[in-house]
Amino acid sequence: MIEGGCQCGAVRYRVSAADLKVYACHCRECQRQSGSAFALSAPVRSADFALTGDVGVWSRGTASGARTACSFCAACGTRIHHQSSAAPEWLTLKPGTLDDTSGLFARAHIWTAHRQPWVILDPAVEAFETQPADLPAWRRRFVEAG
Amino acid sequence: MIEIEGGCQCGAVRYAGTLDTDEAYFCHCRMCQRATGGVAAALVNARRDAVTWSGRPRDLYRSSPFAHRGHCALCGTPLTFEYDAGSDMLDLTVGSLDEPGLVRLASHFGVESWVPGWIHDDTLPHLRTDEHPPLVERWAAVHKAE
Repeated sequence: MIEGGCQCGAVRYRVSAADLKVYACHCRECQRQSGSAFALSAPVRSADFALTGDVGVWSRGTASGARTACSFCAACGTRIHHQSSAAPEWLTLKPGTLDDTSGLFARAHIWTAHRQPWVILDPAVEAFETQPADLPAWRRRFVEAG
Repeated sequence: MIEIEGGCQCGAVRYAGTLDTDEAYFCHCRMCQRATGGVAAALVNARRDAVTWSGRPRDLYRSSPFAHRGHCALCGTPLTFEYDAGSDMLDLTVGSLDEPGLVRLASHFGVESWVPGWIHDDTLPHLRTDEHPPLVERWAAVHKAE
């Protein structure tokens, strides 16, 4: 069982999946949202995700016209997951909130055109200068790849 | 002296001020992983009195017996790490700067929980949390009081 939660413990979640596939996004929105140089995303099926606790939701429009709903712990602010109106059957989990982060394997980087110059990437990891043309479809293939 | 402005993802919390240094660091500790949802927070030290806040006041989550983490209550964006006492400095999250490119990576902290593969760097100084006297002394005082 994959489990995690926010900093204060008020929000907890479980993912019913064998493992998580994780990519990094270096766009300015993800830098801002995470406070870091890039954010991590782990796509999971909404049906495989169970959350307890109070979350706040802030949503923003995206270039494609969809809206992304961003959920965070109402008490400590920890961002837990995002969900696009274009693909509500999926969530992107913020996997730094897992109880065990030691196995977060780097599978891809997107929006490296906005990478902070001091973040050096492993050249062996797949990287996109912007994002795949059909991001929801790419996410599905990304998760289903072995 | 570096002039900076920044704020959260939704724009409710804003700050402006100056940095005495352009030396930022990645903190790989587990609390920074949860706070950012990723593998590390990018932080830069600033004098408290050199940062002016505007808009909605940042919410402060008590993340340990001697420190708070500032964030926006409306969108969750992590903004600061702040000791309660004994320091006239605070850390700003680099991703919340309007121009994160004004700083550069100078070191790694909290490397006991570094998740390999994402940040491809082995040239800059590495420090574990238990090698940092300001943190070790504060935890020792907490344990002594118990």
